[in-house]
Amino acid sequence: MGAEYLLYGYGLVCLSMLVFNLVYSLYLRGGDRRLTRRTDLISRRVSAQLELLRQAPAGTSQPVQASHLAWMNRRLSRVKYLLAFDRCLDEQGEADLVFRDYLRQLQPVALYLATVYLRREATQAAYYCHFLARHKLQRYMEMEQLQQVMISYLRRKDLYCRINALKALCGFGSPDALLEALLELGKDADSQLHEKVITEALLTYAGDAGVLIGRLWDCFDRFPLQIQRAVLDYIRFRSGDCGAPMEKILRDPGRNKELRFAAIRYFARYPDPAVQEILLEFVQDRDPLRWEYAAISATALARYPGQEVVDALLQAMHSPNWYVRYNASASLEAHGLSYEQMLQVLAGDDRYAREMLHYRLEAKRLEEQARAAGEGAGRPEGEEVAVPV
Amino acid sequence: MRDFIQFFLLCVEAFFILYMICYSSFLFLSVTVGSSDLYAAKRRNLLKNELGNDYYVPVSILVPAHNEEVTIEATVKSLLALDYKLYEIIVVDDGSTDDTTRVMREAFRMQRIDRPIQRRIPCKLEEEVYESREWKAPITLVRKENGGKADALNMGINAANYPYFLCMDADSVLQYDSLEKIIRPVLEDPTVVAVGGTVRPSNGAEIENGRVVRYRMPRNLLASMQVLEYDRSFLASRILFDRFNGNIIISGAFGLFLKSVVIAAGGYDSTTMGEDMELAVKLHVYCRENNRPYRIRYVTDAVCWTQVPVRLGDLCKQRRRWHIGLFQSMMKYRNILANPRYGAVSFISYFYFLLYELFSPYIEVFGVFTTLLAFAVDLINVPFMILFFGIYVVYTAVLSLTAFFARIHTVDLKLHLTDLLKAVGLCVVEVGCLRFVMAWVRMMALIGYRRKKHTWGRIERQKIQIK
Repeated sequence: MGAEYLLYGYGLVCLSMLVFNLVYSLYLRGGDRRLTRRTDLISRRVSAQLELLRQAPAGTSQPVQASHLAWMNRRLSRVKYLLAFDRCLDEQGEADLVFRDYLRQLQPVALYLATVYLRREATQAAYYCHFLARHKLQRYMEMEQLQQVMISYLRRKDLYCRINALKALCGFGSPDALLEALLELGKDADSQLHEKVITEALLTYAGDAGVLIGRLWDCFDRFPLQIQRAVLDYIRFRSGDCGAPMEKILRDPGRNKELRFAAIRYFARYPDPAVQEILLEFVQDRDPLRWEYAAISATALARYPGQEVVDALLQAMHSPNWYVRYNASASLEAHGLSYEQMLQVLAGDDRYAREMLHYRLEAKRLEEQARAAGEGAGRPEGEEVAVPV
Repeated sequence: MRDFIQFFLLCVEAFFILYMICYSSFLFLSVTVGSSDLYAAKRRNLLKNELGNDYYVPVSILVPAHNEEVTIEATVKSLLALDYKLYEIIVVDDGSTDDTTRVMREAFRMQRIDRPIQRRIPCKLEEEVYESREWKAPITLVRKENGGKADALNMGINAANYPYFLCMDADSVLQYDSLEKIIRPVLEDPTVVAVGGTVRPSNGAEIENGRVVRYRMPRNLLASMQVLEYDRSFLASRILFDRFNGNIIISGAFGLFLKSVVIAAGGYDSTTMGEDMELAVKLHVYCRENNRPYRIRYVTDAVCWTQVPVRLGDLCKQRRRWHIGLFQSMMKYRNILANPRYGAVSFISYFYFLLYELFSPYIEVFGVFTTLLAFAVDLINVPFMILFFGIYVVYTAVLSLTAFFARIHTVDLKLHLTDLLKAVGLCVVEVGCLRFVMAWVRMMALIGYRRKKHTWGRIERQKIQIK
């Protein structure tokens, strides 16, 4: 005897877990009701303030009651009420000028809450950033102080806190604050955000993209690689006026290959005769270690006219690399060569080139059929870069 | 002689007490961690600690199929209902002798095409390739010589266009948001090379456009017991192992992989029956041997619904395959055992699978025989034995129920009272009876297993109820 006491102990704890599960499930069932009650409570309070603001004589502004601001400070410091306020804001129409005035006057509350949630556990802190990013309260506010607090959120280790804070800062539309945020993010080498996440956040930037891009170039070399990649992708989606700095990256063999790939993709979207020569060099390069340059350049050359380009792409059809052949055949099609013509040109003993052309010919037929049927996904994007996305 | 037997039984008793204490502690710890993790995930969702679905990474979905004419159409249709922006579907028909290829061709208006497939991992030759671009996602059907599931998956990898691939079974249905959820760890951490999702029995679930609209415990008692078993095993070990990057199994029914790393590691091993576990262990070995920073993750909210066997014979066949696969993987990578280079993977995960999965049927059956021996020589305290067994059954049953309820509550499924009672009743039967039947099956699994290499485990398929 003896061992069974340990098992009794375990059994007791497990039984407690089971009871907890049952009780918690009952609690969860009432969750929606409680949220609705809190939303109603806040809505009533907000409506009363809006009524007061509406009573102000035309051309003047009535301040929101200090007691209301204090009440909001207290209540919204609890995340359940912040959730309810989130829902309450969804129900209000932002077009209402009085409501906008009300939101503008809530600035001290937003700032106070920013300092409160900064000290809270990570999920609550992240939610506060999400709340700010979602409702863009900053549009009606003086932003400087709030931005500085948001940058403090970026110093936290939690991933979602950082992502949501970055989104909120993008929503603020201040290039200086965003730049500071990116530099802050870059400091922590151990927890880099995925470049896609950063690019998507940058794409929500609410200010002047041209000004932001200028500032990004100024600080480009201060960013770590992950952020540099994200910045280049963002620029590709937003502006075609960055040929010179992109070309510099493209031509710099000392740069990380991912950055040079990003530059090639930029010139695929915004063709520039100045880089045609180097793209041709890449596509003709037979070094198996540099096949990615050849494959991406083969795609980029689809939009560069001229016999020299067509000849280089036809040569690329003999590449030992599958992706180079695949991308080159697609680009030749974009140059207006039918696959029948290509087959004639390439008629010979290169089985790989012939097979690829046959496949592209048939795939094109399927795509045309799908288009005629008026539905479908079209051709899947080929894996133009066989490195992890 | 009696003294010797007494001494022997004393040793056995000491061993079993230690064995059970370790097992109970592990189960307790893992269910506690698992439950709290599920509730934390629910809270994170409520407080919007998640990536929006604007982020996407292109994914190739691989569906290896062998004689799946009954289920393949519904499976592919469910894949077309996924809420995801960029993916392709690749079905590999591994030399089916039924009408799998015909069903696919007709259902999705597929046309034959001469597609060159780059052979980056060795696999049997393709016979025909069909494609269709008429749907939300491009569909490719590769019909190849029969070579087994691993070989079919290798063909799928070769034909895949995208940098990540997801493997699944042809009788499974992905929940509408499963792709979005399973890709999140990749966006959260760029070192992630593989992600396992949660597999739940679809028997009893009514699925509409990838959404579960009604959930009942399956009518079939065997299937119901497997519901409890799946919840316990997924909640028990995988969430805990995920904490220290120690998952050494990613279910073949639902796993996402970084293609380049899988290719570099050599792809699926077509000589083993447990290709899913073999690949997960292989990725640990590959990344550690090459000093590549990596994570293998498990996500609880990416859900795949799969059919579980409803006949005891089919269940035995399935478990036999799983046990052989486990044995082959453990033997192939035995150098992991007690190897400091592998850290927690060696000293916790591998050790756990060795003792409580691979050896457990032998230990359990040995326990039953020694109990009989002790009874025969009148060296057993019968009331204590019954008490001990009772505690064991109640303890494991309570943990099963905890896992089951935690899973039900956190995914917002509603249960009927009859389902609740069924779960309570069956968890005792599962722990007290089915477990011993399965222990016997697993114990006998290794006898003559070499004769059955490369074969697909056949269980009777039922049409998937998808609206």
